[in-house]
Amino acid sequence: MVLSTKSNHVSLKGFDKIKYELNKYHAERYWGIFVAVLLIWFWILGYPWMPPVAFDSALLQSQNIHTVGVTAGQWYWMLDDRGSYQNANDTNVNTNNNQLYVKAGETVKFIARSIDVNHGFGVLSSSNQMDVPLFQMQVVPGFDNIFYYTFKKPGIYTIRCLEYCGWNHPYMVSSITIHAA
Amino acid sequence: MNKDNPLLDEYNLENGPAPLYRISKDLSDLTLMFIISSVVFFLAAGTLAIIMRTVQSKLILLGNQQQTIGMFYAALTAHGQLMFFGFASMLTVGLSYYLLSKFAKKPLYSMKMSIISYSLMNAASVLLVVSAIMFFGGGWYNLMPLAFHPQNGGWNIFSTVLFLMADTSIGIGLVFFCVNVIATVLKGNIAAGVQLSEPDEGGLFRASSDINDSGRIDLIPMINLPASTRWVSALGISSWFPRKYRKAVPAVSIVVVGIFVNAVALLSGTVGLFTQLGMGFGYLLNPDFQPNWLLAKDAFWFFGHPIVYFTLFSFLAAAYYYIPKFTKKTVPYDKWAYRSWPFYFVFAVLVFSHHSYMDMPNPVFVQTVATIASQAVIFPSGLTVMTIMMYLLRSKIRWNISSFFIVTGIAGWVYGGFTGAQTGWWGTDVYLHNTLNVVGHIHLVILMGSVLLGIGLVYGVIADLTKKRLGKTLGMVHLLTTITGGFGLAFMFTYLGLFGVIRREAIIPDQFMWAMPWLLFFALTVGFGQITFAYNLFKTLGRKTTKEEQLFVTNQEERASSEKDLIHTGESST
Repeated sequence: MVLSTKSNHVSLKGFDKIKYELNKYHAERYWGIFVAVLLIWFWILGYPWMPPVAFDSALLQSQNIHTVGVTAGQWYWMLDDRGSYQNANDTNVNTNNNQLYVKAGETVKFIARSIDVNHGFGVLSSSNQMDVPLFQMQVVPGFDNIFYYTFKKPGIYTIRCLEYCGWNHPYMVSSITIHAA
Repeated sequence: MNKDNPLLDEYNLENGPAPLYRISKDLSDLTLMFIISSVVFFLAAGTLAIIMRTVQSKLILLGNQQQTIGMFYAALTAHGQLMFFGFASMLTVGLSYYLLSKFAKKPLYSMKMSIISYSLMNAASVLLVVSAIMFFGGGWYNLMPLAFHPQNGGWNIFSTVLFLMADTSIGIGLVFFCVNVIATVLKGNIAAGVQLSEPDEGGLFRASSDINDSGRIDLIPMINLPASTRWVSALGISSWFPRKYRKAVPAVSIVVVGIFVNAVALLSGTVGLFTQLGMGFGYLLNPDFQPNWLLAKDAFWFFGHPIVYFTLFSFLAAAYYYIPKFTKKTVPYDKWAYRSWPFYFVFAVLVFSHHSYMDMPNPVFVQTVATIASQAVIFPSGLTVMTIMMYLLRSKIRWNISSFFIVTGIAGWVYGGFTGAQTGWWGTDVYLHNTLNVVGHIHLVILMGSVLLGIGLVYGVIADLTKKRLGKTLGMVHLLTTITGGFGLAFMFTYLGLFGVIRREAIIPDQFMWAMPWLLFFALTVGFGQITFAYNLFKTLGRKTTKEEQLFVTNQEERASSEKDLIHTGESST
């Protein structure tokens, strides 16, 4: 159907009529507003997940923070137990330097440092070689890379390097045992 | 319908009639050289992809496991960079030069700069191939300082130097392109005034009768706009003005807007690339110099995300011209088509920060910008999708190889956008980051988005450049194999990523080995399609013009001659 000026407008049918109506009633304007509102809503929804916000929330809710030091290098992981703190600033710590002992329900503060290149500290959701990550963070050399996490269930969880770090990257695997509360 | 020569209508609809403005022979030849180079490097990068697939399928074993893994990572590194720079960027630069000259109706600011950009991009691609042969495996995204720490008998530092030199060459070549485009748009006369064809209600989908198509670029005059107005027009900002002021500010063709936004965004991004490379070279020359590696990573992605959009924007803008042409509709000034572009310009750069979601030491404002920009970039994409759909809805589009590729490219890009929105949200990225889901996203938006759009334009543009048409049967084979293989590959990557299969892993555990032969099959299917395309292209270029094709050339000249009082000719290159 040919559309020309309003004065000699020809009657439309079917999809041509729909298209004409969409154009006439400014569909693109309302679509633009809808998309913008949806995106703002998504952002607000996702706000609590942003690391600084999520970690502040975890710190407020937890009485005990268990600190675990992570050292990453080509191509190994080394975890050391730095003990439990009543709160983040408490210096009366219970340490057990010989063995990592983390319990389910504890909020764990992982402090990861790399001695060489970027690594990816990924804790998988099971003891499988490859599985959905429970969480992950990059281990950037020259920084303390911090992540807070509370393991809900006891068990053995695979730790895998998720950031390609050289030819032996596929073998950079370890594990962490979470004990029953 | 041309009753005297129905073949001409078919030709026009088959290839999407180009504006009558004649680009110079030099530019025509250069565009062809860009296309040829991009196809050659596409094949090279594709070969590297096949190597990766065969290593993961455990079909290849070099002298020992270590060397095989090394080959995988060398292939991964070179595949990514060759695809982005040797193929996609090369094709984008070449077609952008052509489209800009056509739709601004003027020669490029400097042919010398165009040739320099071509030479540098080719030199860089060759360096990348050489570094791959030397087993350089620092990752295509060059996450420093890995390039300098191969360990365990890995690649040698000379290959690292070659790789850094390749990236430097790419950066300089792209700067030449950006400056050339910006200067072409901002200096001298330019075809402007498209906004005067803004339709009344209901006029948007008027059937084209060519002569009466006031949106037709041939009928737009050449104007010398003042600088302030030109910036506003070239970035699409004037489309947001109230109607009275919109009518007053001459608007350039939307194709020019897309290319201009592309150039300005990428030029901003190159600052990041050179910052990262500067840190790298500094560390190489003096190991006591300890750069901030997080800044190096952020700097790279400040370039890295714009380069992804770089391969899309010019083609997306051109789609606003070609899709209406394939539907035999007018190409009016559609304010909603223009309104996306100021947002693309801003967010294409800012969205870089979502690559650092998992970098906890980043300042809070970077994390905040990342989440906002990653959502906000969807806004202009949403507008684009709506506008394109309005063009296509019940429009009796002429389906040919070119239009199939362009429309499928839009679909691939849209679907890829959904996966991008998913990984661009922190709450899901904490699970999906570093998995094959991200690889699926990239292959959807680039391979099944930008690349399909670009290839579709090549099928259309080759006819205008060479006066010859690419073979239809081979084109169909190319189309079907690329769509089958490409979507198969991308969907499988996305699916596997949801189950935690990690990207950039040379060794896949047994539980996921079932997927590897499928990935290899899809990759080979895509590869077969591109070989078919290359054969079609070189065969077409090598043969003589047929009688029917010669008729088209004659008709174009007659058309230009008969409409010369109506047509505003552009500027000559001489």
